[in-house]
Amino acid sequence: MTDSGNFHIPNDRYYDPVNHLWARVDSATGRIVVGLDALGLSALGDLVYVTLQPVGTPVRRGEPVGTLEAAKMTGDLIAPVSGILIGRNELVLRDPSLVNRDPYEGGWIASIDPTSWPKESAELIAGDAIPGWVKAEVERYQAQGWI
Amino acid sequence: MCPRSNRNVIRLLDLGLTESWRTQALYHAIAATMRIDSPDTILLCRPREPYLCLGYHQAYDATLERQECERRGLAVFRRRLGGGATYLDVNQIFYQCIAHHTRMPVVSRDIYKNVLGAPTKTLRRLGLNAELWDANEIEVAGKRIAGTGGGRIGEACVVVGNLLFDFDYDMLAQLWRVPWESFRELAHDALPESITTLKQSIGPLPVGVVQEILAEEFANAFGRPVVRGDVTVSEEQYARELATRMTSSEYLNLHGADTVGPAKSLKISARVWVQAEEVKVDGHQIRASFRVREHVIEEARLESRPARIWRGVEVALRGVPFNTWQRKLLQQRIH
Repeated sequence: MTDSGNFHIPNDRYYDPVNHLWARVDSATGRIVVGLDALGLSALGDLVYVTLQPVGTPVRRGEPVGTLEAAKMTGDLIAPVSGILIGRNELVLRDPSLVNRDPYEGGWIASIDPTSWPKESAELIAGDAIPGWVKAEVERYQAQGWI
Repeated sequence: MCPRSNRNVIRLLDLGLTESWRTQALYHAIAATMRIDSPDTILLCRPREPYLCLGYHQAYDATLERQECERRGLAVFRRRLGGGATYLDVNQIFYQCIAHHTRMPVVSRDIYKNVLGAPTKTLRRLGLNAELWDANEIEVAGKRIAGTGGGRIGEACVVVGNLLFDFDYDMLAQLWRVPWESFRELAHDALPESITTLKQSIGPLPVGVVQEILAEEFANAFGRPVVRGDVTVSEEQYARELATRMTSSEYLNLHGADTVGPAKSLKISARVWVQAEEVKVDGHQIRASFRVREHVIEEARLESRPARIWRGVEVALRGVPFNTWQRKLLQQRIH
């Protein structure tokens, strides 16, 4: 776990540095479980809506797989990896505040059967690179007065 | 004429009084086609005909009385932005700010703070003690005086809002889909108590004066020159296409296809909600409607089968934290 200020970022997964999404490999299935990280949530605020494409939809890294709304502000949920949308957290779809309350476990959002994981995982932040990235992001947010 | 290549200049599009579809579709078209070298743009406009606009995630049939909207000939749009359903007419001035996301803050509350500083200061220049409350609500004396919403459309960050010169409270109350009529009555009563207008606060004002101040304050808020410009032919054409989509039955029914009933919670302002609850107590099936201000019950209406007079309980529920109302009800029934 990397802690910086009030932000907890687990070290056991990958991070999309642009959209502040996490991606964790489910070792049992090889699927990629996706959620929002603490920094991304601090920017958005309390989620009131999450929508997702239907299960079976092909998704491409960097393209929308669903939508979000917090503080009367909507946005796209961007897929951090390419593949087939294979799972949706129905609890989160019914109660999006679960993402804010438990972002790394119960608040996972979607799971994707990846088609380009070896290539795309190299574009994500992982392992030893996480603490430095978190530190830089927190400093960037602080410098802008966002936190 | 605003040069499209100068990124420091903000383009001001003054649409004046215009067709209702242009007041929604144009800003969507400009946002959807925005690239990093596009000019950030502010639109100011008023709709010639009244209409309704759903927030992106709202379910039509949980929010509005579809048949009533049709009977009154009111067009309904779905916007790509957040917030709740709005009744929009000529007595409101709309401001719509579209900026490339790289030129706006990342954090939602800072985006609102940046943009909503302009309408807030406009109201102050008009002599009102306006302030931003709860990140995105502009209030005068504790009452909402404007609506706001925002979102990311493509590469654009968009914030929209309106200033209310006057407001048809009765019309909006008739158009909501509600679980039962006592809920509608509470919501109707809550409107003038929670939402104020320029007419009520100051008196009649010329639209042009307010619009001029608003444009000046946007220049101040962004610290950049605001220069009048024109809608391009391609923006206008794309807006026509989007208007058709935004009012299509497919798009209006985009969310909540499985919705069977009306929403049981209605936001009147950031401080005030109307809530519906059902509970069975001592053989009475109770339908309760509450007006809740900052989590505390302000007014309650109870009706039941079999019928009973609940006046004493309704009075006792005033001032009770909303999340404890059932406990209070159980205490009261003993007496």
